[in-house]
Parts: sequence; C-alpha cells; structure tokens
Amino acid sequence: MALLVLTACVPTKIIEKVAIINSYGIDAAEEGQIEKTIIAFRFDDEAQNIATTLSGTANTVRGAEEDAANKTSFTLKPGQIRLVVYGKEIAENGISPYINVLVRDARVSSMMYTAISTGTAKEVLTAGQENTPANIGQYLQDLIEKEIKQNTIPDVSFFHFTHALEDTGQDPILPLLGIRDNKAALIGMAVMDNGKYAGEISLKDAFLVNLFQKNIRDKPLEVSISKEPFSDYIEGQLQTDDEQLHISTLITDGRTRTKMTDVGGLEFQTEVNLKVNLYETSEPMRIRDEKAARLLEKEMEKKITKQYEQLLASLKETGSDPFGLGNIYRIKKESGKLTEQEWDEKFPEVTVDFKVNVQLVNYGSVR
Amino acid sequence: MRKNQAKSSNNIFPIKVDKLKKQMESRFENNPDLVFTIYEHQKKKIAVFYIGYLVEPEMVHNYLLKPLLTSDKTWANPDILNDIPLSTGKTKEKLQDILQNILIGEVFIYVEGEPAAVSFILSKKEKRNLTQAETESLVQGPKVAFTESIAINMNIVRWNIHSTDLVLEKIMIGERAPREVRLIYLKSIANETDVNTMRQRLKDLEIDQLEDSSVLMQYIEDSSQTIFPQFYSSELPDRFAYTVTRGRIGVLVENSPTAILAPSTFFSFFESTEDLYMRWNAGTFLRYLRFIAIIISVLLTPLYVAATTFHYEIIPTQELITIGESRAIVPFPPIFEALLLEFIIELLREAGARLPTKIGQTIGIVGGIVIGTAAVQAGITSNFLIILVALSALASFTTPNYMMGTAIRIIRFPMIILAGTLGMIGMMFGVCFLIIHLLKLSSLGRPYLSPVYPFRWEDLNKTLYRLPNSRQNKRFASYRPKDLIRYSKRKASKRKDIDE
Amino acid sequence: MDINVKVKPYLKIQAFYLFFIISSIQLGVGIMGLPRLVFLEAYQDAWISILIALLGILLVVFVMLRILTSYDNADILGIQIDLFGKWLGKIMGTVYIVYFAVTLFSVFITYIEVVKIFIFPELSNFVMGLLLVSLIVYCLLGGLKAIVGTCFIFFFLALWVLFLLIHPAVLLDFTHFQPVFQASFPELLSGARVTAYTFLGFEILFLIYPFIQNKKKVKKPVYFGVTFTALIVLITTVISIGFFSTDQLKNREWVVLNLFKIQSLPFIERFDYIVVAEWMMVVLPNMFLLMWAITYSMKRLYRVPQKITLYATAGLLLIACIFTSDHFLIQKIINTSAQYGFWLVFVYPLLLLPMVWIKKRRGKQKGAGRHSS
Repeated sequence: MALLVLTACVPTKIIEKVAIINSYGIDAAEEGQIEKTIIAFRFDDEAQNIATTLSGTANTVRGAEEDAANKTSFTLKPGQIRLVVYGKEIAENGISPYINVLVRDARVSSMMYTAISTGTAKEVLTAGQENTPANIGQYLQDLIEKEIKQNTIPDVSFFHFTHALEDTGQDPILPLLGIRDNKAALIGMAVMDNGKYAGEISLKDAFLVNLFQKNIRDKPLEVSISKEPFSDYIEGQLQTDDEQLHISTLITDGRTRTKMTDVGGLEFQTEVNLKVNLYETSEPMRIRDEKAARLLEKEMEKKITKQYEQLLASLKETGSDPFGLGNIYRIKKESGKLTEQEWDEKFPEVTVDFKVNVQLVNYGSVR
Repeated sequence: MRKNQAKSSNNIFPIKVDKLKKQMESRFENNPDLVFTIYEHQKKKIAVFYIGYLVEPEMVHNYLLKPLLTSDKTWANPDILNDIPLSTGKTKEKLQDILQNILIGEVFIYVEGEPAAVSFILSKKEKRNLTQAETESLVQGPKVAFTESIAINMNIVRWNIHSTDLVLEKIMIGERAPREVRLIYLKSIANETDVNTMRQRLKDLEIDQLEDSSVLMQYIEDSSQTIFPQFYSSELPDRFAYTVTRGRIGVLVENSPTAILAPSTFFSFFESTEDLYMRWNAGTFLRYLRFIAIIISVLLTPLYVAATTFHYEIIPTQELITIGESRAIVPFPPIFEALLLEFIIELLREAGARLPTKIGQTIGIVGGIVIGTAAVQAGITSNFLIILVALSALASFTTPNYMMGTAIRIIRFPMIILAGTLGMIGMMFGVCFLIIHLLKLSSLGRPYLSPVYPFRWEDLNKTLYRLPNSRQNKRFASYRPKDLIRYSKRKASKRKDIDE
Repeated sequence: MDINVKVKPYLKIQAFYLFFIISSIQLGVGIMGLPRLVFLEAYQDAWISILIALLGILLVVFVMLRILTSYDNADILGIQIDLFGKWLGKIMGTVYIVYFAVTLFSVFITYIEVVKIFIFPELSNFVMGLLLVSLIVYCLLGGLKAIVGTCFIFFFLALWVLFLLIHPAVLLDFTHFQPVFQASFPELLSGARVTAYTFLGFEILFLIYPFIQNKKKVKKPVYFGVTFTALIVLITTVISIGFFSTDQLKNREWVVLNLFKIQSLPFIERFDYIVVAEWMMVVLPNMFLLMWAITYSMKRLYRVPQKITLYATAGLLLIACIFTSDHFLIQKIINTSAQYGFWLVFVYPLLLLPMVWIKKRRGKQKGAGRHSS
C-alpha cells in the first residue's frame, strides 16, 4: 500500500514503456511551420527494429514533437538525443531558436551532435534508414565521432558548438550531412554566422581549422605539390602524366600559435609547426640528401600556406570566423569587450600572415 | 518461584537424612533420575545423591564409594575432603547451590549432622569432537572451530593465549536454568571501562534461561532497533585470540559454539583473520575487495532499477539498447522484477542453508541455473538483471561475518523500493540514512564507525588497509587499551644509499 | 542565562573537525550558481573577486576568534547578553535565530528546486521536503556528535565530484580570462559581495566554539576551512569561466551543474544526474548544522527543549516548502538570506570586537575580575 502511494509521487519512465528519441531532424514546412522527423527507440518485443521513425508538424519544436507523439502509443522522451539535423532551409534562416530548446531542457545531453543537411533533414534521416544496417541516428553519430577522434574535423559536440555559438569572437562549424550513393554521409562542414548557415568548406579545410585550434597528433595528411622541382630526385620513368606530386605523410606533432601583430590594422600572424613522417609518394623518389628533404619541406609549406590563405579568403566571404580570431582580437583590444556585430564588420578586413613550418622527421626505411 | 528461591537460599543444614531425601525428591518431582542412596557406616547415616546419567558411574564407584564405605573412619566433612582421592571437593550449604550443581553432574555426600554437604565434580558430558569451522571458513590459517562445550572452548582459548594475564570470569546467567558464561579479557591490556560495562550488562541480565550466545548478544547489545550486529560473533578460536590479545573482550557461553567479541567496529565485520595471514599488500587488496563488494551488493540492483525506471539518460546508448531489448518482453516494472529475483535468490540461499549440506549445494546450483534460465525464457525477467542480482548476491557473501552479510542482504530490499519509487534521489536518501544510522550506533558504548568517526589516523591501518607488520605495532587506539604498544618497533635501519 | 557555557566532556569535539564543519556548512547550494553571479559583476576577473572575498572572510574569522577568546567558554548568545544586557542581548540572539531559519529555508528550497529542474520536474515539493526533513530530524536526534560525524563522512564521500571537474578543466579556453584586470575596483568588490551567500556559514563558529575540546588548536582548522571553501569556489569559477563562453555564463542558472554533463564512462554517463543526487550529501550537513543552531539557540535563549524546536521547525519547513515553488520567490528568499547574512555575518562581528574591548577594559578598571577574560 505504502509502495503504491510512493509510486504515485513520481511518474515513471520505464525504458520499454517510452519511446526514447535518438535523433531528430528539423525542416521548414509550409506556412512557416516546422516539420520534425524523429527517430526513436522503442523496446517492443514485437517490432523487428527498435528504431522507429515518426514525424510531426507544428509551429514549435515541442509542438511538432507532440504532433509526432500523437501517432504512437508511446510517450517520447528527449534524454538520449544523440544527433539533431537541421535542414538547409531552416539553417539558412538561423537555428538559434531551435538550439535554445535543447539548452533549456536540463535533461538533454551535452555530448550529442548537431548537424546540417544539404537537402532536408528528413531526406538524410529516412533515405539513410533504408540503406544502413543499424539505425541511422546511431550510424551518423558514429560517423561524426570517428572523424573527430581521427582529428579530421574539430570537436563539434553540443557543448563545443554552443560554446562557439555564444562566443562573440568565434563562429561554430557543423558537420554537413548529405546523401552520397544512396547513403547518408558526411560531405563537408557548414560554417555558421550568427547562428545561420553561411557556407560550406571541405573536410580538408575542416582539418586546417582543427589544426588551427588545437595540437594534433597522429593524423595522416596528404599534400599535393608541384612535381617540377623534384625532377632530379624522381627515379626512373615518370609513372603518370600528373603535374602534381602527391605525398602522404603522418603528422606526429602539429602546433599552431597565433598572435596579433597590429591591433588597429587587424593583422594576425599564425605560426603552424608540423612534424611529419613521410609515408608515400606518388612517384618513387629518393631523398638523397638534406637538400632534397629541405626542398620537400619547403614545397609542402608553400602548399599548406596556400591552402590556409584560400580557406581564409572564402571564410571572409561567408563572414564566419571558426578560427576564433575574434577572441584574440578581443584580448588585445583596450576595452576587452567585443560584440558579435562589431566582429562581423571587422572580420572581412582581417589579414593573417600564415607561417607554415614543416619538419620531416622520418622517411621510413627508404633513403 | 521467587519466594521459593528465597527460602532455598538459606542454609538448610544440619538436617535429617530422610528429610533431605524427601526434600530433594520433592524438588525433582519424584524423578527417577535422581539417585539418592543412604548408607549406614560406623553408625552414621551417609547420603550420596546425584543424577544418574550426568556422572561417570565408574568414577563414582571407584573413587568415591569405595574409599567411603571400605574405610573404618567415622566420616566428617574435613575427612571427606582430605581422604577421598578426588581434588574437586567443596562444601555446599544452600539448597539452591546443591540443586544448581547437581544438574551439572556433581555428586553430593552428606553425613548426617554435618553443617554442610560435600560435592565432587564427576560429571560426564556428551560432546562432539572438534571440527572445522563451517560458517567462517578460512583458506589459510587454523581451521578448528569452537564446540558446544565451554570447557573445551576454554581449553582452546588457553592454548591460543598462554598468559597468566588472561582472565576468565565466571558469570551465571539465567534464573530458572542458569548457564555458565565466561567473560574473557587480558587484564593488562583490556580497557577497564569496557570490561566493567560488559560485566555490568551480563550481571544485570534477569532472564529465565539463555538459549545461545547469539541470543545473549541481542540481550546485551547497545541498540536493539538496528539491523546491524554490534558485537562480532565468531566460531574461530584464532579470531577470538587475535581480538582478545588486542585488548578487546570475549564472551563464551556454555553450549554455544560461537563466541562474542566486543566492542566491534563496523569495519571489523569486514576483516578476516586471513588478511593477517596473507602478506600485507594482498591483505589490503582483499579488504578493499570486500568493501567494494558491499557497495556492489547494496547499490547495484537499485541502480539498475533507478536507471531503467527513471534515469534512462545515464545509460550510454549502446548499453541502453542491450538493456532495453532484454527488458522488452518482461511484463513487470523493473522494481517488481528486481524484488522478485532478489526474493528467489534469498529463497535459494535459505533452502540451501536448511537442507543437509550435500543436498543444499545441489539445490543451490540446480535451482539457480534452472530457475534463472527458465525465468529469462519465460520472459519474467531480463537476463541483464539476472547477472546483476547474482553478482550482488555473490558480493554479499564475501562478508566474513554471517550476521553482517545477512544485514547487508536485507538492506538491499528497502534500497530497491526506494530506487524504484524515487530513483536516484531515493537511493541517495537511503545511503544518507544508512550512514547517519551507522553514525548513531555504538558498540559497548564505543562509536560504531571508529576509527573513521571519531577519526583516528593511527587506527586506519588496522581497519581500512594493512601495512607491513613493522608499521603496525600499536593496538587499536580508539578503544583506549591500557597498553597501546604491541611490540617495539624495529629500530629504523640506517638509511642506505644505493650501493653501500 | 550564563554567559559561559558548561559543556559535558563527552559532548565535546576535537578542534580539527572545525575544518569539516566550516567547509561543509559553507559549501552548499550557493556554489552551484555562484560563478555566473560573480561573472556578471566582475567578468573575467571574477577570480580576483573571490580572492578578495577570501581576504575579507579571513579578517572576519580573525575578529570572531578574538571575540571568542576574550571569554572563557562563551558563545555569541552569551557574549551579546554580556555586552548589551539581558533584553537587547536576547533580541540580538533572536536575530541570529531568524537568520539561521531563513538560511536553512533557502538552502532547503533551493535544493528541491535543483532536483526538480535536473531530475524530476514532476516531483512534488512535499515528497522531496519530507525526505529531507526526515533525515534532518533523524540526524538531529543524534545530537551534535552525529551531526559533526555526518559533516566529516559526507565531506569525503562527496569529494570525488571534484575529480569529474578534470574533464572540463582540460578543455579550458584561456582566452576567456584575458585581458586580465579589466574590472574596476568597485566591480571587483561587488563581485566579492555576491559571494556572500556562498561563503555564509562560518558564523556557526560563534555557537560551536564552547563545544571544542582543545581550544588552543582552533585557529588552524578554521582558517584552513574557509580557505578550502574559497579554493573550491575559485576552482569551479575558473573552470566555469574558461569552459563556457560569455553568453552561456550569463544565461545559465546552475552553471556548475552544467559542467557535469560532458563526462562519460563506458557504463555510465550524464554525471549531472548523479551529481545532483550526490549533492544531497553536500547540502545535508549544511541543513543539519543550521537546524542544530536554531534548536540550540532556542534552548540557550528561551529554555525551549531542543526536541520541541526541532519538531516545530521541521513541520514549518515542510509546510512552507509546499507553497514555495516559484523560481523568483526562491531567488528572493536567497537574496534576503544573502543580504541579511552579509550584515550579520560579515559586518556585525567587526563592530562587536571594539565593544568587547571596551567592556574588558572597563571591567579591569573596576578591578573586579568579573569576567574571566
């Protein structure tokens, strides 16, 4: 009896009696409404697959969830959300209000991922569902997590994302999900500006952003450089007609330091120090002497510098600053304060002097 | 009865032999067990009386009756004491004394007209042989256990502690059927306050009879409201000796194979003498293993219940799927599922304990496997929970003391209910309540949680962990023994540099 | 009423427990939201504010100890009666009781609110209140020794939470602290001022002092206690500022609890749930000591048996918490308690010390050693 009284005090959420939302996508629907596509776990012994897909339409995220919940006998619970995908259309209009829902609810995890889809989120979540063995939410989450673990992209966990989003001197980047070969895949990164989708960068560029932000270890890096200077070192016949020499390396230690050289002129200087091991070259070549090594280093430096400069130029166009240059500027600024708007205006005038410093440490067992 | 006793505690001698016979027989309700023979020797009536099956008949015949009746002396009490070739002679004057002692196998001789009767101890006692300890078994170390005979037990204790300091105070407990209880301590070490408290508690007991030492324990404990035992009961003489030589008090009860050790701390229930026999680092490891085991035993199943009922958020997705799928077919809420399973485990344990050893083991294994497998297949429980419940049952059996182990197993039930109704908050409430409860307990007036609270740094190495013996030369300071130092430390060896 | 208190020897406690008493009564619900509050005042220089606050507290504690050591074995209630006479002394004593009650209620209600936000939104105040009140009553019945015991044991049982902070600590963004020394001195001071609510509690020294066995050793544990608290507050503030961006800090109510959302182990994650439950071990000693202060003061001042005060206060707490679930009302109660506490705990002792000195001097001039000072 006492047990019954006690049980009545708190409504239970027994795991097989509720549907646990694993991931959801948000798209724009007609008349300014939003459509929410939910992938939820239902532990039902009769169901073949534990993941079910539901969708609902309403004016608010929660409203859409209610709408979706009406189509199932289970109550939807948000505590295990691992992935939220925003459709491009929604993202272009700004995702801040939808992020707010997640932040406000203390039950939502900080370890989940938010992403943007090239088409609609529904497409990614449903088309993918048919072609992936496991459930799609889990699959995409693992995919993103793998890339983060391998240092290909910066950590975009929810707390990193909200941190960057609400930081005045930095803009977040999010994984860009799309469909490739009928399968959901990570196809690049979306750069954001003021919570709005501003443009996309390739995964290669995403690595450059990551390298800019933190120290990197054990990360394979492929660089294509011009073949011409190495004609002396390439052995035998040229294998291909390719103008480029592709070399594959492993970064054993990559560090970046950025400082402001001129506050008024918004000039930055970034030193990128890379220690790499040489793995593979597209043409058989011999690094006979130090000169050859220095040459190789130099060409790589040139290439990476160029990549950085191109990336910065395109970022300036989008107006998004994932590097966090604004923070460096804020520190140097006299007042120590910086508003989002101020940095938006200033960012396109920024110049960064990239000084890349590559050091070949190991050449493998071939000389 | 009380009145009767008052009368019988007076000196009844001298008395006519026939009258004595009548009185004795009336006391024994004309019981045929009472052997009361009257001999005429040198014109004097001599009464010899005893209980037939409590004495050794040959001894009575050879050493008592033979010298008594073949001699041509005129017997008086001093002569009897001097000339009978037995050393245990004593004079008894009070009827109550006689009644008490005749029941433990003494033979009485009364020469008419003398002011007292003379008794000799010629008791015969049926007893079992020494056996291995069953409830507290050790892998390493002495295996013998106490038996029901207090004489044998005292013998074992004496063999364990060769010391003239060892005091074995005799106290009789029980109004109607008194029983011998021994208060044992080392005079030069044991704290006097503790000894006095214990003696006082034993002497103040006014009960009809005493069933066993564990009953005595319940009578003299500090708090009878709690589920935790406050005194350690052990059937191991080596544990007894170990505890007494460290300045605590032991109590032996006649006809009980378990000794009481007091005062005890909460932590002492998780030490085994085996920790001592092992090397110190292994001993420490084992002790920690047991502490972790209680935590597992008390909290694991409730955590599962709380997580599956309320906090699915705290389970990582992969495990969530595993747990969810195994729970999908279970028709009950987790709290009921867990209670059911814990109940089954308790049933198996209880059945195993009641049945003869060999059948008990079989029942335990067969029952466990059959019921477990069938329950999962029938969809009554999830196999995930079976593992957890089995694990926590296993963990609870690592506690060396059976009473404490039982207490811990029982605590789990309210814990599961709290977890199933109020989730993590309920569990936390339970844990807080338990700790406050333990804090308020005492054992023989000494705090139950010492040396953690009241905190004593120097005692931690005897409770929470062990150190090499060279660093453990002190007795448990929280109990204020008279002599704190067990042995003087080896002189710190001169510090050497590497190659010296 | 006697100015000095005669305490039975078996009720006395060792001086080093003061460390745990002081730090466990200081650390409670306040710290959960503190980094945000200090940040709002002093921005990235919040850590300086906390250091300033620590200096202030050390000064106040120093003064308190001077006041207490001028008497034999007195508590604040006795001292006030000695200084102000019977009537005014009792009124001031009552002020203390009211202050303890308000603080107790604010702690009580804040923890219930946190549990509701983080774990059980549907939980009724009554059930949660009942759980806490029953623990309070149960522990209080064991007397001061049991209370000190819970402080001591819960202190260690809650310590592991600090290890969880390692993960956010390695993710610190140091640019958030730069440029340093931006806040003006008044801003820093007002930053220090908002820490008052968190740091409140060491006034328990005024009441518990007569119960200390070895009075010569009082100083060290007390100073260490307040420093330890300040250190913990400092660590959490620094981590919060470094981990969250400016806007996040400004917008989140229980910043510290949000720090526990990112840790994960292979079998368990979402430590915010566990930490909020674990926090019960942090707030309980807090409430035990405050409740003890109320019952003990009532007994000293008005000779009300402690049990009666205990049951009455517990009942009132339970009734009051049912009607207090509005967030802003709770904030108001916290603010009241903070305001009240600031003047009573931080400022009042500074005024008290000169009075004690004057009184002492006058007593000496009379030549009659009425006070055993």
